Amino acid sequence: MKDQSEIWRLRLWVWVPALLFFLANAVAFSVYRFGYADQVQSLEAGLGEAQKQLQPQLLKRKELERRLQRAGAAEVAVKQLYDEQFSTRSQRMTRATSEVKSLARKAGLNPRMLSYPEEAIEDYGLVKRSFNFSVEGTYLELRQFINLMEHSDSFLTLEAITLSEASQDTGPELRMSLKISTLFAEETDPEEVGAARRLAQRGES
Amino acid sequence: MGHLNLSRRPFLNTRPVTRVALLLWALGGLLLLGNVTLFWNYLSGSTEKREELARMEEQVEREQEAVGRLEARLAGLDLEQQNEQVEFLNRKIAERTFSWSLLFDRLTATMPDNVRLIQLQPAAISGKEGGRSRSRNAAERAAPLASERVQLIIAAEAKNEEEMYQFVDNLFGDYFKDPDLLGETQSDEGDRFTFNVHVTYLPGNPTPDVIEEEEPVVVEEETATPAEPETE
Repeated sequence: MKDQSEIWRLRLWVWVPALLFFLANAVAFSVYRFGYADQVQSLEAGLGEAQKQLQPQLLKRKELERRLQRAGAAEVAVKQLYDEQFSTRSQRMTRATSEVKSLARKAGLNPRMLSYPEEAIEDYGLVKRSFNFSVEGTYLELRQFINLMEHSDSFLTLEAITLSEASQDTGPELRMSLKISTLFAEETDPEEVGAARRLAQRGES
Repeated sequence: MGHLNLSRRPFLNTRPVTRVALLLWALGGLLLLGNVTLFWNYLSGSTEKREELARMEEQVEREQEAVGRLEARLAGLDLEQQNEQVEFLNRKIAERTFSWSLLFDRLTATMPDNVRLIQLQPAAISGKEGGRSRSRNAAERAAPLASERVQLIIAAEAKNEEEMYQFVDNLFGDYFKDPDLLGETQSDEGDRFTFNVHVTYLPGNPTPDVIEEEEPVVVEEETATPAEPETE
């Protein structure tokens, strides 16, 4: 009797092609597993890394854009304030002076002597002009004047009030020293002032 | 016709060979199927991923460039200077909108009969405008609007000591805080006391016995915007 293992030799055509087919696929799988799968993983890792880099950049850009937008809005608001409320000396000085006197007279006060000290606020391109005067009047007239000042459209600020008894014996009258101020924009553009200052600062450093 | 002699061709069991072969074909087939799927996925997936990666790297580069440009623009704006300017302007607007009428109403309510006001001066408003070089104390930094905590210097005259002290005591109220008697002078006749008081005025404090709803918290931003000046 022939050995049973003889059958494998006799039937090579049955099992060898199957084995080769299996081995070929196994080799192909191994090649993919150890060669290409790593590439996919590294691509995925690269994508994750790029995503990690991108996210903070996007946030940073949004934040910078927001800050720029706010800075732009602030600049526009400042310019509007300078143009519409402060104006320049040449545009508003006599008007403001006349308004202070007019409000005082409307309240029953009669300022006869006024002084107008000025102070430059160079850092912000402004000039502060004060209107200092002394008047005699009643407490009610003073309150009326304050009330009119508070309702005025002009940028007039009441800074200090000094009260004392009137020199003559005229009943309830008081002597009041008032200090009112307003702001004027310097004749040059505030942006130019800022630019000039920045240049000067760079020069110093 | 010759006879078939079966004994000359002995029986051989081929079933194990067939079974093994079938098993190998089946396993090989499964592996083939798996390989084709993996390869297909690899081809399509890796191409897609490579493109996505290239896109993303390009985007990162673009974003970096954009960030650089924006940073350069911001650096050119000098935000610190702008913030200081806006803070200064807001303080001036707050001073403009400061209500002297309300201050007089509240102050006169605290004054005893024989006390007379001589001078009234908010400390935050007066003084030299130093602009950028102006050094500010902690209280001013904590209360950027001058109208939130106004330092007042009050000069007044009383007919006697008790009324002077009564006035100072009355300043420990709802709208005034931490009054400090700075100095006093008695007249030669002894019938008049002239004195100076420093006090913190809180114009924003609500009227007593009126419950106000709590305002939402305002988050402070980096760049301030000047408020619109108000006229009543």
